[in-house]
Amino acid sequence: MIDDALLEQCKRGSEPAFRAMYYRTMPRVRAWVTRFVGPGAAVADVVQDVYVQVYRSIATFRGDAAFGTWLYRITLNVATSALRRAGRAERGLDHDAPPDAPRGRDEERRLQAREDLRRLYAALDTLTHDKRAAFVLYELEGRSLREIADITESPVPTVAARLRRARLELVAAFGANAIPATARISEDS
Amino acid sequence: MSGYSCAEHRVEVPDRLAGELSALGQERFDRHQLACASCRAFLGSYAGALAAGRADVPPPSIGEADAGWSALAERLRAEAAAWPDGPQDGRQPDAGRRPFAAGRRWWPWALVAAGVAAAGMAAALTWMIGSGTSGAGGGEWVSVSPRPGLELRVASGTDIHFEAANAGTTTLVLGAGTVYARVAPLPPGEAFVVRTPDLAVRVVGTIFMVHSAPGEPSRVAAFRGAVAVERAGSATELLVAGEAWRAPGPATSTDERDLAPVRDWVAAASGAATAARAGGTATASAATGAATGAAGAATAPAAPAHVASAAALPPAAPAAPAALARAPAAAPSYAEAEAALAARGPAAAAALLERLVAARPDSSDADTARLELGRLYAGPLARPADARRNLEAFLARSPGGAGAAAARALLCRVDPRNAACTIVAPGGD
Repeated sequence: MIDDALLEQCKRGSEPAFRAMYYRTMPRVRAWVTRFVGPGAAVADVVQDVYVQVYRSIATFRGDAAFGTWLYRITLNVATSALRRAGRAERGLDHDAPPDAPRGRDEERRLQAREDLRRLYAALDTLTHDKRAAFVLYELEGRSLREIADITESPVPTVAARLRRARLELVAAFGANAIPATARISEDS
Repeated sequence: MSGYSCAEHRVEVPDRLAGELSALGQERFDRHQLACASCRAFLGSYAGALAAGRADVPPPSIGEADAGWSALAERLRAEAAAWPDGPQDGRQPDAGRRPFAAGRRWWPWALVAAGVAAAGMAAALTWMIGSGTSGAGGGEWVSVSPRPGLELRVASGTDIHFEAANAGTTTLVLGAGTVYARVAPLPPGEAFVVRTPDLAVRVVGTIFMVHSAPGEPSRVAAFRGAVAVERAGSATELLVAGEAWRAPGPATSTDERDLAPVRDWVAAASGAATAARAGGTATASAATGAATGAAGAATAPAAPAHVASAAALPPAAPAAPAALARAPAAAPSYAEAEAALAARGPAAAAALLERLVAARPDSSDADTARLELGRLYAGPLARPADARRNLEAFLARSPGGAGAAAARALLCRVDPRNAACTIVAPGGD
């Protein structure tokens, strides 16, 4: 993610190095934050908080984990705090389909994707932060259980259990949000 | 099918999508799907939501990244000023190297800076430094940071003053002498201008030098980013990093003499790799230290870097003793390309991005630059072949990464028959 020389300069307090590190890593941090808290105006504030925390902590980074894992851990902690502060308040979703997608058939899909995202994050808001992290990292980010264990500093079986519970709870929450009551019928129609 | 309810079926949806059901379980699941319209709707809805959550997050625009940095840097500077004990682990970084402590670096000039800030750059600062005029690369240098994001190194004997700020433009009037400037990327609509009797140099974020002497055309050199040189009655000249120019001749390469007084700035901007390429003995950290400046070095804060770099010059060739080693052109940063885009349009930005890609083809910055080049060539520059070249290169390196969907969409725009157009995102039709 960043090379050792740049990291060392950041640890020594070089502003140009910190700036270079910011520009190099911010797109990924922003994507992580967006996936975790959901797209919206709060993303920029959370990203800024992440780098403030990086600034405060980088002197303590010893390289026990990869820099990317360490950065992700900070991102997760800061994003979780932001969610707590917000109290899962209603967020203004403004996530679009890829910005330059071909026009024509795309408008309906874009609106559908927007609605899908709204429902997904409404359901995610019903999970505890630990389960939310496990679900987002595994299902949306495509991380392995081992990686998630490293990031969250939890044993792999714990992560697996959180993921399992998260899936069940999400299906329940999603089902309540997604399907009209009249359609929730017993089986064998 | 009795004993297998819709509730049980929906619990298995994530496992089915992940391919984690047994063969029997999958058969039962699929049979239920065929029979139950509401569960089909549920599956489609759940899968669609997951696909939306997994979709690429569009990368930030360069402007968004710059705005984020500006806000962050301001916040960290405020924090550094109010936080005398350093980072939370109590360990103080190397003396004088704490970031964002603007104002400490140039403490002997704090009063000057405060005066400039208070007067809004309005004709408040006029000084003559030392005695005698010095050419670029020679004599003593005075460093001053009249405001955050602007640092100057001024040769002894130089006559400069600020003009009143006007519509977002800060103008430094250079009567005679040499001034180097390091200008952090400015917000859209703002510019920094150095004006000499015969030209004006306009920047929005770069490192450059202007030398003016009575009766001679002024000389301009750019070390990072790009500068626009404006002269009455002439077309604007655009100098990019590594180029120097003096009317009326063509642009030439900067030389070691141009670079020496600000080698540390350039090294800091380019990181350790550039410092090594520059061939100096100063390490990146030493360069950073010189940029930071030691307290009490007000009369010559850049002197160590200057002396070190001069001593590190390669031996002059016997046949041409005056010849100096050419300074390698520093690769522009992505932020500088954005600044160029705002100030001078897409062609200038594309030129800088191409240089960035050429200089550091395997870096993540280059990947981002390829995508941005694709946008520029597919859009305002109308060069579809170049758009295709950059977008295909981007996708070859990041087929599933952030921005891949946008790259494919752009490719489809310039080349509808491209193979990338056949790739449909999960959940797509």
